[in-house]
Amino acid sequence: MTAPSTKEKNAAPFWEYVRVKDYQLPAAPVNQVARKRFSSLRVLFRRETAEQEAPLHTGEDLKTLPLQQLDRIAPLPAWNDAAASLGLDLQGWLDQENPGPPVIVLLGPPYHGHADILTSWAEQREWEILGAPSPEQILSGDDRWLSGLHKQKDVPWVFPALERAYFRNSMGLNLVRCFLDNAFSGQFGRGIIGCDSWAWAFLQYAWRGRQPIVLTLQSFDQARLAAHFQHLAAAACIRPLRFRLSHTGSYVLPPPEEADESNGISDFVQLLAAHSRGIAGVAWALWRSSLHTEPDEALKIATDQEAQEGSGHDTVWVTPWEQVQHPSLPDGAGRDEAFVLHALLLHNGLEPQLLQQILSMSANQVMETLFRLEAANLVVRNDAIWQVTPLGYPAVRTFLQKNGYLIDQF
Amino acid sequence: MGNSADMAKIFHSLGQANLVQIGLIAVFAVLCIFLGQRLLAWLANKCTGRRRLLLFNSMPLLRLLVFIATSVLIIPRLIEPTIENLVALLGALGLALGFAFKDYASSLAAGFISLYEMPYRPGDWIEVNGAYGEVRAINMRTVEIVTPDDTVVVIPHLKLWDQLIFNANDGGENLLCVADFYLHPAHDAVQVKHLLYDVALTSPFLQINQPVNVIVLNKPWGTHYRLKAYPIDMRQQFHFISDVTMRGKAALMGQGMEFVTMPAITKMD
Repeated sequence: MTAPSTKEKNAAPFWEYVRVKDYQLPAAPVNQVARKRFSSLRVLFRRETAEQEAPLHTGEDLKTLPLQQLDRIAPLPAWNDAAASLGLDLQGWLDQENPGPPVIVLLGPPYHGHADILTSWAEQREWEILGAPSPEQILSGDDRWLSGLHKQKDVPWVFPALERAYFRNSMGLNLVRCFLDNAFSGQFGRGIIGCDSWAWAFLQYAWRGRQPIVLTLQSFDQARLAAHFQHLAAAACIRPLRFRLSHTGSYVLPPPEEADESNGISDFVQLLAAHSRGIAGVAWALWRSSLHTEPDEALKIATDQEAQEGSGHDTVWVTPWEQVQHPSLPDGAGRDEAFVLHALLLHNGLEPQLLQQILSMSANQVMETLFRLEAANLVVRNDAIWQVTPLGYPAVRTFLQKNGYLIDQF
Repeated sequence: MGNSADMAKIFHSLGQANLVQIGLIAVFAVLCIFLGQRLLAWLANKCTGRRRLLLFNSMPLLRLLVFIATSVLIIPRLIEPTIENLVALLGALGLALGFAFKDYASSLAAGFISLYEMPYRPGDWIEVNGAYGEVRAINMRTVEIVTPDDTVVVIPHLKLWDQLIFNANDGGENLLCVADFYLHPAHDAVQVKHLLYDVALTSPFLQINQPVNVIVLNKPWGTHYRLKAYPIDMRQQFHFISDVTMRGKAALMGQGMEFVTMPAITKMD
């Protein structure tokens, strides 16, 4: 294996891998916790027929950033950096000629990037990427997929998304059980399995084998998120940016040294980290939705001279936390909504036909529920697959937990 | 005559002011119980799981507290509250009730016992004399249950004394459901057992933290499988049984299993 590069060393602060039990949920400020409890009590006493809360305006003098600029300031998280950092944490295991556990599991909550990280890792290290079986193969228990897997034992492999290898159906579990039995017995040689935390939570009941080593990407707490967002913005080749709250002017990310610090630093990022449960993709989506600019102001790309002199800066206005729109479950959401959302999370997205088969619901019932949830911005269709949105994930998780459904560890 | 005179002495002379006070206290107590129970039931129906049961369970307690408080307020306005007076009054009351309202008094007494022993609580699923349903309210004399067919059954508490009370969840939030499957004896029982286990495991109604069991019984006419599991929400027990039955049938038929259509009738000599 190659020695860790400079890039890998630099990437370490953002991306740290820990055992699942060491995953730390970011804490919310105390006043926010009290406010949340009070609000849940208020919800209890709210009349059922009450209308949904009116959308909060973000200020008429501000406009949403154009998508192009948004993509520059807050681009997709760089999972290849995360993959590079994985090498540092797995160095001991990689150095072993005959590794103790032949297979390691990389677990992640939705939008925490486990599949992208492993795909990127495999490309960087030239490991074989194992493809998932088709839905038909899973449901028919077709073991040709299994027998066709990984012929060259000396080449390490990754299986980026274990959640794509099973269905919560009585016919949909045999293939994944055989795969896990074979993989953990060392039959395929050295490898890493990526798995969504919700699917893993369910598979713990469906598959009884020796417990493997399970790693996860550490949560993005306040400090890590602030550093991450600054890193993303700095890499955008735009003039230096200052992120300030639109109603008080206080800084959201630590300002540069020469800036006037009389405005103070807000607890926006701490709230964001706690609300998103430290999940990178959820925090990123919320961050993007809260960025605004003044109507006539365009964020300029830094000229070479400006970059050298470090002169000038642009301000991005951030919506106050109280005004950031968080999707919530529609009034009267009940069993159908819970079933659909739970199935989507357990499989990290599904096609409607499969949802129908898994839940024994009619096509109409499934589509009606999906459209209702889509209107509430809780699910979205990517190609043919419906998924829970990153913005809606915290509300969906809370809803399922309150109603006694199996939830993940994060 | 002498006894009636003694009894009369026990009571205060009830002035108009006392009567008004007693009336007001009684009305206030009834209002407290009525509104309190309504509020608790409304809140409980907005919650799920343990919180729902806690709120339901606090209803009889609320009524007991109001009853005690009312008694403490009313009795001193009626009699001089000495031990002798109380014993004499209760004795006379007991005698009267024993003859005139034996069953009524028995139900009231059982109602008090039920608050202490808690053979059923609001939110429990109970069966008494063949009536099965969810306990909706525990009144002073009766317990009200709502059957799965949405029929209210009013059961006097006195059934406590001599009837079997079946409580399916006993104050908890887990209720065991059983789905039955009857198969032709010629099949691989291990395969069926594993298949039925997966059927329960993959039901979206399943409370996955609770155990799933498949019991196999050999019968003269075939093999009887009992699939036992817990639903997430007790109120969905019949949907849960329907779901695992439908899935189980589909899965078994998919594996070519043959069902027993009718039990054989054996003639006994």
